[in-house]
Amino acid sequence: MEIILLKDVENLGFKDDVVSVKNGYARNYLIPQGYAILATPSAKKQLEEKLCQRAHKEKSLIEQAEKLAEKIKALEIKIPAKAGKQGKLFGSVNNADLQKVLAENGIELEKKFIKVIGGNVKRLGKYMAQIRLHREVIVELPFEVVKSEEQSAKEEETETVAAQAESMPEGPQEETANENPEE
Amino acid sequence: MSQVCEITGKKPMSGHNVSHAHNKTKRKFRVNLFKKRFYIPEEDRWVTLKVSKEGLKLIDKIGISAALKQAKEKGYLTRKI
Repeated sequence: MEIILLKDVENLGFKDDVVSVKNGYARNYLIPQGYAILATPSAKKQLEEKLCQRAHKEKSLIEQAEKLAEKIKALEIKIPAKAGKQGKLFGSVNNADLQKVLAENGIELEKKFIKVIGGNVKRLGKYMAQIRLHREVIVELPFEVVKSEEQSAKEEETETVAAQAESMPEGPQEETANENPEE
Repeated sequence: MSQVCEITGKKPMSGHNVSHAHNKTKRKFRVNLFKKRFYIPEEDRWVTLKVSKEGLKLIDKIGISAALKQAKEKGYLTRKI
């Protein structure tokens, strides 16, 4: 059912948003805990009026947010992470990691305003994140997860060693592996 | 007042089981009732109601306090809550 949020709720929405959720989630959790009220027609009207009154104040806020948005768009973000051979990460890259990288670039944001599209990143590659600066200013930020430098240097060494070692015993090993199922 | 919905006033109806040979035996069509606890935000308390599926849908649509008021006006809710 449709509800109006009274507070920010992670993974759902922000204050004064009208969102639709499962009935039980609202009835048993969101409304008793004070996170939301039912979006009846009268409640919706009240919300609209409230937002109308605040519109003047929000203009400057929106302008600020848009400036910040341009700053963010100019960034190119690469996040180093440890990864296994097939590009699978040890652990994952989430919005907290993005927050740290943004902070290093001089942009302080709260974690809850950053959302990695498609959930936490578990492989190397290019991804998109959604950053909410204001209700009407939402930026999409592309970022790339790359192998961390120390690790890639190490791996090159081990790979060359492994390649040399493998080239010798590889032949006979494969033969035995093929023979077994035939028998 | 056992099998009555406190929000919509739905009651069991009586009817017939009808076999292929048209033998009729009495039966009851019962209401889909259950006990459910609801939170009233205005008064910051919980009430337990015996509601039907339709009553639950009504509460989700217009809110618990409006539903209680409507039920009292229509005389479905006789006990004090």
